[in-house]
Amino acid sequence: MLKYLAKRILIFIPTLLAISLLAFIISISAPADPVEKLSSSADKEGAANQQSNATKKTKQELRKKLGLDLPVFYFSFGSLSDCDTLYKVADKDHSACLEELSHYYGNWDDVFSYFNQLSITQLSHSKLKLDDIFEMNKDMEGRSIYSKNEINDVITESNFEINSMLETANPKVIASKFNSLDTLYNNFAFLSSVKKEFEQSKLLYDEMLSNQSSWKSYIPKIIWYGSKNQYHFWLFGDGDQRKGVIRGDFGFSYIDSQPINTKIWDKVWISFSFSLLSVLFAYLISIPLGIYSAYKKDTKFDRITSIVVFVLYSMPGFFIGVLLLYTFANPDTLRWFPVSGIQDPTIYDPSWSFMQKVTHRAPYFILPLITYTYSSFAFLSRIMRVGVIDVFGQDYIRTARAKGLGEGKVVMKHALRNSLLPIITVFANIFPLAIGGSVIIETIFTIPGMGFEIYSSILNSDYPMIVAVFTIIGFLTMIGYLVADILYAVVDPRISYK
Amino acid sequence: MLNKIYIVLIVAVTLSACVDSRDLSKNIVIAHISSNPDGLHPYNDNSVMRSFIFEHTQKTLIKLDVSSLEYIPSLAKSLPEISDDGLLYHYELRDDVRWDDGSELTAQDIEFTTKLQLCPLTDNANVRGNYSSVIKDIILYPNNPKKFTMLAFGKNVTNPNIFSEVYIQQKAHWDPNGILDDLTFENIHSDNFKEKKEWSDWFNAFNHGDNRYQPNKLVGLGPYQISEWESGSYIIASRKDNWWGDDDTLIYNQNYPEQIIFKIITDDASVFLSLKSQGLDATNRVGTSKLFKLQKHDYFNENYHSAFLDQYSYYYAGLNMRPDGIKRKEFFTDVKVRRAMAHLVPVDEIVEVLLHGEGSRQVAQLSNLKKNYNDTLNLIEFDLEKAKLLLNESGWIDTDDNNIRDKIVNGEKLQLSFELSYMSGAASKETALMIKESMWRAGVEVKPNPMDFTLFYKNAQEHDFDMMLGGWGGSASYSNPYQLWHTSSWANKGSNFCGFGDAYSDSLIGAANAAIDPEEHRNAIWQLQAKIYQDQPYVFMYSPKRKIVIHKRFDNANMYYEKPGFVLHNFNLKDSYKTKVPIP
Repeated sequence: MLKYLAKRILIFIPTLLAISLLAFIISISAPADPVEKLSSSADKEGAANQQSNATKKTKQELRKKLGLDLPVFYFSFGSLSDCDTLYKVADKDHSACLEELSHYYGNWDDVFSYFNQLSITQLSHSKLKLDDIFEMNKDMEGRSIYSKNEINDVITESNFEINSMLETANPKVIASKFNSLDTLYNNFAFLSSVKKEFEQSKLLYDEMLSNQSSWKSYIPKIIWYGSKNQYHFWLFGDGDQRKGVIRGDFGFSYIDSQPINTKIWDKVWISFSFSLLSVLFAYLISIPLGIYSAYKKDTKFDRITSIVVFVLYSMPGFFIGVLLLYTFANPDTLRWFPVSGIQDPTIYDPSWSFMQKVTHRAPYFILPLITYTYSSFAFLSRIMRVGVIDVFGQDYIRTARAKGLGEGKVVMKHALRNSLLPIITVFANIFPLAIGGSVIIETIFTIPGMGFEIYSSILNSDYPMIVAVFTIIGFLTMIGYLVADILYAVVDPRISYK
Repeated sequence: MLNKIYIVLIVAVTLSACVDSRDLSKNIVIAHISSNPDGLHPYNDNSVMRSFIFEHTQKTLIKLDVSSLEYIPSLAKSLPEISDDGLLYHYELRDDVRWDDGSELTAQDIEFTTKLQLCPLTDNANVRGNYSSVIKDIILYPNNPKKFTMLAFGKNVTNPNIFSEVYIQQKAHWDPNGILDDLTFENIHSDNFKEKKEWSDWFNAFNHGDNRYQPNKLVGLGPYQISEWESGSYIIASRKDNWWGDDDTLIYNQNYPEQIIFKIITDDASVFLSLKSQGLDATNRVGTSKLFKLQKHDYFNENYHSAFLDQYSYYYAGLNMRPDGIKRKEFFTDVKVRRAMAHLVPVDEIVEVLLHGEGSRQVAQLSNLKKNYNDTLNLIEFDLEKAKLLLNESGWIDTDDNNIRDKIVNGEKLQLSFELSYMSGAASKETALMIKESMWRAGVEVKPNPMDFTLFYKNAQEHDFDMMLGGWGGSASYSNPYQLWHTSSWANKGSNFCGFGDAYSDSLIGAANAAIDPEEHRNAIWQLQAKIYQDQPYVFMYSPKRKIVIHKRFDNANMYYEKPGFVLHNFNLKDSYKTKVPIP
């Protein structure tokens, strides 16, 4: 048994690494960009000018600070056409465009030259000033050749087209953008000051097309980045502030700079308490119910309890939660329980003893606990019922009865233990549930648990938190199954891990 | 036997669980907040909840007065004296302001605070630009530690108010060893800002999460100090003893409650029940229908003041004025079509259905609560016949009898059938369906297209929509129109989603922003409103009313249009409640 345990624990290590890597890749590949979220202005009426140089600088600063300017992993699988330093491009849309262009045309140097020239063109266009152009474009009599509106429209249009070109690799779209820009350049002579850059972009684009070597996209290549990558720093630390997951440090939250460990520990006890109590109550109620139903199989009691537990099972948690609140926390009906939270801020004293805290919090836990628990009654009691019915049919039960043992002893001593195996399987789920929490129940009852924390981390692309939770859930699931395996052996002596 | 044990157990738990009654004689205010603030760091956090709490724990040089909606001095003796060129802003600090350690507030603290707000090493990337583009330098006067001058980069309408949201911090508390003394404004503004090791270390400590959450580290000049923070549950601010402003008569310095508890309740049903059981003293975040229900109960009206008040946010239907013609067709390039759309959106019906009538019609981009509101503009009423006429005039006529108008655009027959994009949600869906139904009556086909926020916002920025439902928040303070209405905000994929604007509107925005003279500023803003109204990039719909509830056990329970709608530390427990026994 001990050897088996040691083996299982050893398997934990590679499994955990795989889980963490998977979590890392999933969160990094998510469409939302935390830098975009963090850098977006909190202006009262919407986001700031996204492409201003100041914003770009800010994004680069943030990317560096969060360590997102590093490659994701030790190596990446790519093709001959791929660039090995694409991760350094701060703008996610630009980086995606470059990646696509290099896939289409296969020649990174040409792609880079074209893109770089386009960026230079964008910069020169952004410096065009309406008033300067207006003043400089006057005829002999001092009358302006173009109206201010005309100039403004051309500047706006050309800026937009170039900005869009920096985000697209579609040849049709690029061609149409080049065409519309050509028209603008031909019709409005005041653009001549920036025409050179534009013509150069076109030239480089044509060069990229003529040197197209798409075959390079089909030749696989492994790009090696070494240990200076995001995953390595996450796992082993950066030798400075971060110690790495391996030393129990999950890093800092992007959202509020708090250590992930602190954030999780502050909340996990609440979710864990609910999970534990919920499972405890579910077992305390469901197991006897299941046994009794099995014992009274096909009687009125069995049928009624079946209907009741299945009706409960079919009702959604948010409905039951609100229903309980309106019934038991409402001055118009029964005001037995508090409405929200887990303690009363006007009374609660952090220096209270454990028992005082438990007594104070008990009323706050009742309604959420019922909401957490009720749906598992059906599942557990039915599993128990089927298990017991199955066992009742066995020879040794008949023998026990034949020996003259009392019915209570037959059920509790012989039938119960052998019907517990499916229940143990369910028990394994309690561990990951502890950290998972429940968003809906936590929202209805304003419980500061893990469910809501994870939900807001996902909404805010808080990668360190998401990866940490993902990894811990993976770890706890493994622990759960290990505990279940041990319990199987304890309950059923026929199971051996030798 | 087993059953009996369970029954006893359940009854025991139930009895022990009976809820404690709230003692209303306590001089404590429980205010509702809907989520945990992202932190209470003086610079690095950004949530609405943070500003709400900072009203009680922090102070600024000047502030927006919630009743007059004008800026008034707070830590400064008066509003700044402005030089003729509009670049120098002279301030003098009040003599009676003291830090918690008893030392006086000096201009050095202001210089230190400004450095922190502007320095690239502070984790305030999202707001830093608002200040670093305005404040060039802080000039101190060695012979008068209470005086300083802010040197601005250029003339801007926000220059005089730039310190209204800068929470002043104590140099001696944060940097007793003067590590940042040699950090100059010139260096801060430099494109090649070079950091020293000791600065980086100092800022690493300053930006640390502890300075966002640890109650004892959340220091400020306000009358209250955060004494407890149960993350996700509540935050307690306790009144300071011997606070410097205790004898002040200004409402912002009158601090009556012993404690202000900011209680987090996320669910509307829980807010409703908390108000029913007098578990909350003040909220501005209760649902419209819930407040209507509450107002029907006598006991609620006996215990609470409640009202629906106008506010500055509004909802609109945006029309793509500059489509690419390929992916998005040219439905709304003609102003007559845009005006027809405005006549076809049943705004009053939407307000009635969604808000039970508790919303105000919006005419243009500015709320009618603002002093620069252009009151010469008239509401565009729902008018089916007028809309049909405008569509006919602009050439959209149903030529193929399919009840959808059509027109030849760029040689191609185009049906007036377009997408209405909106963020998924019950209210938006209801709005979209009402618009669809109304438009169909005029031969316009609307295809509602719900999507998640990320995609919706990306499409809006890339101008990849025909018509979209959106909304903007706002406050009484000046909001720079550049973000939403300047043409470069369209070209650079900013928030000018619809493509509004031309040289004239851009020049009005420039003039409004650069005007220090209030009259000049007002003229530019008036004309900009008229221009936006005329060009109709949005069908301006409505502004939902703010719902405010305050317990009647307090005097000074005044309600204001400006966020949050009340001044909590001004609430004064009535004598009649001081001796009241807990409610049964």
